[in-house]
Amino acid sequence: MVGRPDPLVRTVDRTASLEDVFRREYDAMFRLAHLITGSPEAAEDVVQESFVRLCRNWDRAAQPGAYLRTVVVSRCRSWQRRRILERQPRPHPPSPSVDNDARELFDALARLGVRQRAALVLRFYADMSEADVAQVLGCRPGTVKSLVHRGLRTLEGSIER
Amino acid sequence: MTSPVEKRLRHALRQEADTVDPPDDAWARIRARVEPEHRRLDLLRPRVVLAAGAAVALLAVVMAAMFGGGGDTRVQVTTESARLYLAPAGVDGYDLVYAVIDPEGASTGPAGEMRVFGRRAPDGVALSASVVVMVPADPFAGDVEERTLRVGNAEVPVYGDELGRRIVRWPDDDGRTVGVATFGLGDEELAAVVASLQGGPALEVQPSLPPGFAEVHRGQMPMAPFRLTDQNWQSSDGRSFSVTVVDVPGIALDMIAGEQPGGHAVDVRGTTGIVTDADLAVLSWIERPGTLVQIMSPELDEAALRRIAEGLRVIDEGAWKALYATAERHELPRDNLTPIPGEAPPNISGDSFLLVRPVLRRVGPPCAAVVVGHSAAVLPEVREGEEVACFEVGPPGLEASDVARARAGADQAGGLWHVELTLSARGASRADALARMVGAGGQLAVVVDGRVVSAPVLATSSLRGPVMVTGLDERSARDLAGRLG
Repeated sequence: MVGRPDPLVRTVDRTASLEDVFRREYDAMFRLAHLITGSPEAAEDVVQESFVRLCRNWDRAAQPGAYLRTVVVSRCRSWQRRRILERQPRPHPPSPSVDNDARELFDALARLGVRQRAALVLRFYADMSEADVAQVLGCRPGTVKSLVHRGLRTLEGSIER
Repeated sequence: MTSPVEKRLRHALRQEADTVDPPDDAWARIRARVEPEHRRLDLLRPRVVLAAGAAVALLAVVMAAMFGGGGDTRVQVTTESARLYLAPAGVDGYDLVYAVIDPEGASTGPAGEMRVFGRRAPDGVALSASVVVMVPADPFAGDVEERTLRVGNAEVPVYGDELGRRIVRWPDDDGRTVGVATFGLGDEELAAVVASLQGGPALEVQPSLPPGFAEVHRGQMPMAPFRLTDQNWQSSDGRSFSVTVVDVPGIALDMIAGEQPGGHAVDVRGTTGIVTDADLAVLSWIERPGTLVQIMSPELDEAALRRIAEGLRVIDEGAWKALYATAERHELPRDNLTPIPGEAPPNISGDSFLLVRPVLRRVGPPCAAVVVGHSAAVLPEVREGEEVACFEVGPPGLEASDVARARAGADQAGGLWHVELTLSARGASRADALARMVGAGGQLAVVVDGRVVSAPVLATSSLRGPVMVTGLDERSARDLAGRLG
């Protein structure tokens, strides 16, 4: 995904099978879920559940890829809530292949609320427009703008300290 | 204008994403999960046929609901209104950095039909409470907390979502999800609404509504898809603001209040707006039913946002697309941009007995039942003492003092009377601005004493020469010409 897609141009792939969608989307969804949950194990569960749900709602999902992304993000948020309820520690140990600056930022990101984190990941990792992020989060673009703005401010504050 | 932290975040996210590898057996595990449920796993069947079938079935339900039963004139079903294109006027020193137009909205959300019931607030739909019914949809998965509500003899679960709505949902006879999402209803009221809707197909039955409620929207679900335009303006010293116009059928301002906590209400464009005054100032209001406008800025204060709001003018789709094209073309590098040309709308008080106003939409009578969110008003067209149509109109662009001369006349048969208005120089320029604002195919309302006497549709986006007010009888034509002198 590069840049902002032209919203006037839409392609609807109506013949793709679940397996096609898997081949095309799994990798990106897995990484996306990892960035939002901070846990590869959670990411695997979340994406697997999301594919099962896509399969059940196959007839209703006009754009399987977009539908999948929405479900993945929603499941990440549910997972986060469960984790808070169960008071689990953050499960993913820092990886040695990440430089210090990136680790510091990713740790700061992990301390944000899950909605802010999802907005930042979709905006700056998946390179989605505010409007598209709004669709995924089920809110309005203004809210995305606000989530992103506040998220960046908080990150800025926490890495300066 | 990429901030350092944004750049570092992008870098960190990419690095972190590369530290993990997807499991090799992911597909095998997913297949193992879905295959038992779908023995005949015919995922290759063309979904377009099924989707079309479902749409037809749903449409049939809606049509039956709209035209089947005896007419209850208290219920006003509004159609989806035309897009509203807004651009700021009189904001010197700002350049348009980017503009996005999304005419259809993405189709990623759950599909569903909905009905919205609103309570009229003193200034329109603002701050109303709303009841939303959706079929079929499950848009609330994820962010819910549960408690129970007694409906008849049963306890039903109530969910809350992030917006502060309370939601009750249940499957109907066809297995679709029906839900009521509400702000502001008390437990007893909510239980009564749910009980009445459970008594039949949710798109057809008249629910038991608390006093003051009426149906204000019937159509696609809110939020998904919504259609929007978004523009971002920047000044050379780094200040910026954006103007977003979102079509969200059935939206009420209380939805925004729930989403932007800590705000306070202000008067903006003659209706209620909400300002949140944290580090990102946001001014939100319902410009007209189903259309939410938001101006936001990290740098500007409330007063500045309100000045921008008051200076917003309606432009036609063509002008907006030109704007969009300009912004896209100039997206990088972001300098030497040309601000939107155009003058501020005339400040006409609306007291004059003759006004010409842009028509935002036309709906059926009774006009008192039409819910409006705009500063302007719903004005009736009256024939032989009866309302025949209602026009929701924007701010006046022309008034009686803009008329230099008026002459009443009739066609040769003497049956159809008109008044020919010769405009003053100021009037001519105002008329032309008005015509450019509504554009070719747009409609104007000629309003005399608060009633629409004529509503011409413009063939072109310019208005020059005398203006004919038609559709009058002899008495009213002579009367109008006489009053205009």
